[in-house]
Amino acid sequence: MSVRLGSAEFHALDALLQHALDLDTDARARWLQSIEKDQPHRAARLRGMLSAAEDEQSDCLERMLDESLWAALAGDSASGQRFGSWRAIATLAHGGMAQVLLAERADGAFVARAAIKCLWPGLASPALVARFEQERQILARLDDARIARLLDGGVRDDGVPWLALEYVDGTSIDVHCDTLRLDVDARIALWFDVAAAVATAHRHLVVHRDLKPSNILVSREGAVKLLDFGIAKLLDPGDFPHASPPTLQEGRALTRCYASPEQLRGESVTTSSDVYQLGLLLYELATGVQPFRSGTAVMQEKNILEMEPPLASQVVAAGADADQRAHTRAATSARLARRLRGDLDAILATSLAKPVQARYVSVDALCADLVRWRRSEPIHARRSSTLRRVGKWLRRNALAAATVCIVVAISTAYAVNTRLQSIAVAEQAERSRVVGEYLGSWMQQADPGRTAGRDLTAGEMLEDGLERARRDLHDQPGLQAEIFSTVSELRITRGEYALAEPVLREADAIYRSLEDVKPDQRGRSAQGLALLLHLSGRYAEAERMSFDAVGQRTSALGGLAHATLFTRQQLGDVLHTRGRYRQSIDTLERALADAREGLGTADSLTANIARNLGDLYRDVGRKDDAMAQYSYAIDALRASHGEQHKYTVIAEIALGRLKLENGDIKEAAAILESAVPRYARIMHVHVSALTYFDRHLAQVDEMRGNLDAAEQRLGRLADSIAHEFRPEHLLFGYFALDRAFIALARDDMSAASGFLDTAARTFDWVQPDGHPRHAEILLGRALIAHARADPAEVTRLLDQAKVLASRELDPAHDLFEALALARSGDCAGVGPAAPSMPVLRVCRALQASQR
Amino acid sequence: MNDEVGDLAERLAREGYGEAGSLRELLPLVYSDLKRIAHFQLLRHVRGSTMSTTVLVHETWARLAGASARAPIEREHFVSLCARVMRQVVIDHARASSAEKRGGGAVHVELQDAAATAEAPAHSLVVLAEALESLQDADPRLARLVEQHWLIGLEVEELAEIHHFSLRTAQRELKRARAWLAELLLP
Repeated sequence: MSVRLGSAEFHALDALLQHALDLDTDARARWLQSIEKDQPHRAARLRGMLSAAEDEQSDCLERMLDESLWAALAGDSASGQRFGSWRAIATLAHGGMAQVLLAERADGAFVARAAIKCLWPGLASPALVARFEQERQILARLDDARIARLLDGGVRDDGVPWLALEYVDGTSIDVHCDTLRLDVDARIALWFDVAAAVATAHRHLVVHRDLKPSNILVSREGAVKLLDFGIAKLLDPGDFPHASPPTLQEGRALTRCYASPEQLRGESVTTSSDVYQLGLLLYELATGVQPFRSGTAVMQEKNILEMEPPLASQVVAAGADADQRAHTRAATSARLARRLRGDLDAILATSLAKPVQARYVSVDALCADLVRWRRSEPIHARRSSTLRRVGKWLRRNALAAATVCIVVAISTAYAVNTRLQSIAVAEQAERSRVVGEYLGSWMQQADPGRTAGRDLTAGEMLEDGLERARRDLHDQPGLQAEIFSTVSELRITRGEYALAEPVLREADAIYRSLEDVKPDQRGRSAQGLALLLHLSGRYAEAERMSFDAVGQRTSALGGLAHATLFTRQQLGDVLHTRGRYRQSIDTLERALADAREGLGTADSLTANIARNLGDLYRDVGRKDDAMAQYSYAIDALRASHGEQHKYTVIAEIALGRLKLENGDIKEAAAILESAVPRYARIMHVHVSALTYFDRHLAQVDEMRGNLDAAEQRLGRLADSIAHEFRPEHLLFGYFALDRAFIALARDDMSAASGFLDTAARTFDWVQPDGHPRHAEILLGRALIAHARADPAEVTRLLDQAKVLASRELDPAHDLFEALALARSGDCAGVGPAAPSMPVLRVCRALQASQR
Repeated sequence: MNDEVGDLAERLAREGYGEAGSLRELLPLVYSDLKRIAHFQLLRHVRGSTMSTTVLVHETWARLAGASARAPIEREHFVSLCARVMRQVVIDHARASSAEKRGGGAVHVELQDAAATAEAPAHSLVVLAEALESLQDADPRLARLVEQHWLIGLEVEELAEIHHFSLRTAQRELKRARAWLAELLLP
């Protein structure tokens, strides 16, 4: 925009802008709507300006300066510089060590262009000059149309070494594919060209080591060109005395998220790194996602070194932009997921395996498998990776190995038997039992709580089981539904809700269509669905489904059966989430009494129900009752499962929370700071429960007065689940509520108000009739009104809060004391003893606003 | 050099920092430092920002301040002077490059990680120079903030200190600046 802004217009727009900047998100949106009516033109400009104002990540001036000024200044205007018979005419790119200039033949012999790569003047240390010479020798060896050719090279009088490379007028491969909306097959076809070029380099004993989209161009003619062998390594350095192995420092010049695990570890780098990076390229071209990319460099390294990349077939259907990514691949996300699922997932997993020896032995082997995949022939990756994983699993679980052998034998027998037509009914029943056990045992092995998260093979095996059940069991819908349910339950324990839901619904439909369902299967799919809906944040549906499940279970098995009691516990849990505390207590008290009678006090389900009930007592303010339930639960679980079992640890964490809310910070911290990491260790893989528990560590910080640490942890947690859950998930409400009170304690009213709005949205979704937690939101808003010296509003909000809280909470709840304090506006009367969390929060906010 | 610096300091003290005669005259004295600043700005994405450009500004200031016992140079004045000189550099470069403007499609040759789409850099410099001048006319204080943050690399804490803002005000002013830059720079 080169039009000079009129002064009047500037100031008019600026006044609006300044006003908008002082508003929180919601108020701003409302205000913009009002502006839209009478000043539509300005409103549109304002929207653009505001979104730029809030977006610190992509800063247009910073980008502009990076693109034009810094390089120009630092390079002191490249144009006109001479390199042998070449004359530079523009800067193409710049990096930490070198710059790339566009150059023309200066001797007029013929018109030709080249990309001149040269070190920054003044940086020409002997080591860097050697590296330049190395690249020159490498390129001279490589003659492949798909690799940018070396045209010329030398050292200038001022000591600056330079290379003239084939100039490629093109775009990076990912941009090329996205711009043309190429489908997965077209992308893979291009990828094959890249792989062939890399294979050629390997035959010349050169490893590229930095394969990534920006180093792979597609020319205007559609031909692939590989760039930047700048950090390439020669496999046989004996031939080339200059080719010293790069140090770690140089390794750090790598683009982090494309580095292979061995590169990060500073280990020797072989052709296998290129196999890995080609796998990564394939993954990204197919899905549009770089699986290891993360906000911080530390996390990214950790991901590369430790995290198994999510399955490409799952990634394509996940995230807010899934549809957009599928669209640029000329597909729907569901179609894309189907295309990648199974064999391509396996090929990628083998390419991206962390240990070098688990990957394809060569680029050619990788290509061969991909060719088989394209022809729908059996691939090698799947077999080898499944076998490899089973082998790994067997080594780790020697005790269970015998079981596995039995299971494999049974499943083989089962597969054979199903093809026989005349099977006695009794045998059928026996077989169902055996198959159920088979799958059940797999489920338990894959439950991260049981195997400390080491084993991920059962998921794959169950997927096989699922496919087989779908194929072979048409005439036995009951058994089919049973297997579907088992597989889905497993997936729920692994947090794979999106995968579990359709299969579970299928099972549910089958069960509902059948007249004679085995009693212990009746209500099973409904219970699974209820759990899934609850965990994934669809609370109203979860509540309905839970009631349904309890009804089915009770009518099929009676009220005292283990399965029924478990379903009743879940119903209590959903009611708790939904803020129906009294109803939940009623449900759980009756379930506990029945469990004591039907299962006995030593049973872990009885103890877990007691722990659940304790949570309710705690939340309504009946602390002594809560304490009694926790004591019983912890003792019983320690006796039945030991210290290191997840149930025991969860009960301890619940006790820690009680102490924390009581204000016993020391005791609470001692319990939580030991139990939460223990839980993480036991589960090993990330489960969403951990996010709940991590929040309590933030609360410990908050109670101690380490507000910055608490806020940082909460912010991190909220970010970490931002893509995992829908925004209505309860966790977001909890985080926002905690952060609001931290902001109040810091006298940051606008932040507090924003967080309270977020919390209100969540809790209103969880319980539209008014969640008891909403009383805390009203309390927060009253504190803001207090800081703004608006006593009428304070009274109004606190009255509302009190009415709402009284509906579900016990009169002894600390919140009522906190509401009274907020009303008086004075904490002087609070005794020296440790105040409870709500009281402490109010007093901190009042003190902050007085400062 | 020391004499030159001493002369500069005296002249600044005499003429005032806001209207320091011809900036072009001062350029040679700080130009090499500014080039170092530019180089560090350039590298900051490449290697993580272990080295702040601010450190360089302060080093330069310390060198000048130490050399001019006759007339002490205030740090904040020096910083704003540096920023103004840098703006002059932008404008000079814009003029120079628009004089020999060249076309060329989008070209991607990338070295390591410095994102580089050399899409008509000359043009964007001209736009930038114009935007800075517009801002200077409309709101000189905001223009100074832009120069100090984007051209010299001062972080929000330092901006707050120099402008005697609270941290929140400085953050808000940066947001405002970002909004205006988007408005003035983007088509």
